[in-house]
Amino acid sequence: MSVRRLMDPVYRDLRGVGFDGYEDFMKRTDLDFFTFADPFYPDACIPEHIKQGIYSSLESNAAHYTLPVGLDELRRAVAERVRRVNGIQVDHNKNIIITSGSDLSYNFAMRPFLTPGEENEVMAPVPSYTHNFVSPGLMGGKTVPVPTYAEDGYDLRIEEFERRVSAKTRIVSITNPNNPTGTVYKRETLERLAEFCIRHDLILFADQCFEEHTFDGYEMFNIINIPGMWERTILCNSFSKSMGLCGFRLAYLVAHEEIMSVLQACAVQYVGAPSTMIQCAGIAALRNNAFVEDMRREFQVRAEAAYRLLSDIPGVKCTMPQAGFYIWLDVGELGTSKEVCDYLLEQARVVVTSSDGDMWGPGTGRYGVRIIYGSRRDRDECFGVLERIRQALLNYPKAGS
Amino acid sequence: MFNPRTLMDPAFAKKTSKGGTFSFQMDMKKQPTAMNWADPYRPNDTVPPHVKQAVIDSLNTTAAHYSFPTGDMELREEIAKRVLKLNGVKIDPRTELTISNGSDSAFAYVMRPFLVPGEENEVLIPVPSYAHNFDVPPLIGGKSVMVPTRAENNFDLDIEEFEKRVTDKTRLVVFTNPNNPTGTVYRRETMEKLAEFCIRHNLICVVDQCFEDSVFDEHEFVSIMALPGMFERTITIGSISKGMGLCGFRVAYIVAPGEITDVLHETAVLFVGATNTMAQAGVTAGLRDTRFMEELRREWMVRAEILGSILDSTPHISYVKPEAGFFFWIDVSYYGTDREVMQYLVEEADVLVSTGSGFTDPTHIRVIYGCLQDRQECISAVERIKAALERHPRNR
Repeated sequence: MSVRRLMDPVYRDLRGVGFDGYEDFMKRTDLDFFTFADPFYPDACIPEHIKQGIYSSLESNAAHYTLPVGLDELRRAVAERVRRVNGIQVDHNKNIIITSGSDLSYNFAMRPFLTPGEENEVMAPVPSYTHNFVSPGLMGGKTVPVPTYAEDGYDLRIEEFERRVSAKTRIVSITNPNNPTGTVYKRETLERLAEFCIRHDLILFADQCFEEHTFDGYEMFNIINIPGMWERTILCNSFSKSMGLCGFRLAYLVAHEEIMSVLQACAVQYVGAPSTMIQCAGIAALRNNAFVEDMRREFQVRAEAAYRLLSDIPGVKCTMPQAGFYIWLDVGELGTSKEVCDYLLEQARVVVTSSDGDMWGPGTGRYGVRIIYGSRRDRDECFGVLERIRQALLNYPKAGS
Repeated sequence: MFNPRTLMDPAFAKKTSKGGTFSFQMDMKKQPTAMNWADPYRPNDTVPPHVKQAVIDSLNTTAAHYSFPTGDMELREEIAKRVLKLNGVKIDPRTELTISNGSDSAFAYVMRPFLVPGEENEVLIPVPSYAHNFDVPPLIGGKSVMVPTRAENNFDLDIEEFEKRVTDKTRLVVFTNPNNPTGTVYRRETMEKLAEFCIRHNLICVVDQCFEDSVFDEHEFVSIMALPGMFERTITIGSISKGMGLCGFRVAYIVAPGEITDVLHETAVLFVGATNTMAQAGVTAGLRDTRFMEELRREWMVRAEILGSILDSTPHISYVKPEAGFFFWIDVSYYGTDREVMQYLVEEADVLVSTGSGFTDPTHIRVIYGCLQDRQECISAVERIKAALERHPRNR
């Protein structure tokens, strides 16, 4: 019997083949992996005071559960960070929940608003984080992709949202700064988006994981501060990106008490509690977070170099990153995303992020390549790899040659 | 005034964190002895040295970085060995195993593929059992159908009760073995009958075996996935939290046939994200030297014996003797509701126990005797429960 016949049709055809053999592939030492949004991958880089957080926990509470909503001390530290970085006063009991990473937080935050059987809609810009195009469908909802344009630096056009809103729309999901384009949405854009959300009575899910790596000259504006948005916004942040702790699996959600009450009530049943020692490390990290600014400066230097190396290659269009540690290329003139990425693997011995399968949204597979310049601890090693990418792209075989 | 609940799936709109046990604990000024968390030796520091060392080594190498969404391969290989030894089933760690970040999130993850949104597919769940079994289906578009079990029958499964409740919308049977809170270790014969039922009605079986390391000597533990015709339709949730006393690490695993695991791997990044890297390193080390796990099991057996005697001499309560560690499921209906007794024991015995309502039965409380590393401290806590009940107003 095929057990797939017993499954929801949305699940029935899923194949994990993308992973088959991938673990072995990841162990290859003849390749450089500039594809995981994982700072300084694969090098060791944890600041000493964060390690101390783990050591102390191992000698005290590491074996035991915390409350599913997270340790009191961590929630207080997060509330302080939210005040400092996002400019809002929040209550550490009523407005915050700690989770095991932002990946499952997408699912967790959106799920209450997607009623099974109704195919409620989630609007998300293209290109944007891959979860936006997979998660809603797996929860019985539907993603409505909203185009953005290179000539706008991939900023949002609210008229494109207006064209696509319907009675079934429940959520607008944005990643700001945006992955993969490195866009920091403009204040004016976010004000218009807020007005749109309020007028259509929508929930906004805002993943701001890269906000502390906003480069000089760009304003990271917090949409949650706009009157009318606090009660309908779920803000997500993580320790992975700004702190380079992807392997820790620690994130949090911030929301108005009415929404947070629901999330806290079902946390243990839906996502479970986060790891205790990891939370202790999180407290240590937040108390002494100067290293975050060091990372930001480092990535800014690398962003400028990456842009310099990749923006004057015939057939390749490139967007200057405004935040984060990745750069988005349009290689459509050379080939599809898969073709170019396979080529870079062969010729430059570098693995970059292909958009094959339209993972960043419909159409992105035709042209989009994301390169992580945040890989490798050593800047020169990183630049060496970017050089190889540059050389390979300069030598890309032209059609007919 | 904007009310977000009006935009929610009704299953979520009715939930609130106010007044739940967790908020009760958060509000308490003084913390009584916690006999409500199924968390071995809580709150003492008990991570075994070899596990600690592996975590520390990981901090200096890979801990900062993502591990594979479906779990570190070395850990999966150790778990495959464990599954063979404990459950008698040989699995391929690549295609029949997934690591998840604790068993709590595994329920929604594994049930979801079989519940079609809008169809209100049904899940059969014997009760009393772990709350997730029946609390999770409504959160993922399904409907929980409770199947009663009885103390007179030692909480064994009665397949007749399943037959009475199966419909053409039934998709899943979900149960816990050994059972939390009753401490039941289902007999081979019961598992065979349940297997035959699942096969006949073409159902998927989800079994949570997180207490399988704590089965007492006299009992045979049977993994339903090992029975003929069952592997292809069984999802087994395993955990190291209880058996290793590492609840705070958040590492669990899911054994399922290739077709199901394929789907789970493809959706791992959404429900699980990835499991934290350093904890996986710690658990791998733990699985390579499991003597500390056997010590825990033996300790539970000793405690069960001693504490059982104390309970046997406590007036007007009754319980079915547990067959696995580390809790007692006690009928306290003589003294009032579960909440009343829980509050009384907080005040008079300085212990916090679990109310039975959470497991569907307000006539019972669950007392965790796995807390506190010091056996005598644990015994004293139970003696305080006995003393408090002896002087209860209803006994004057």
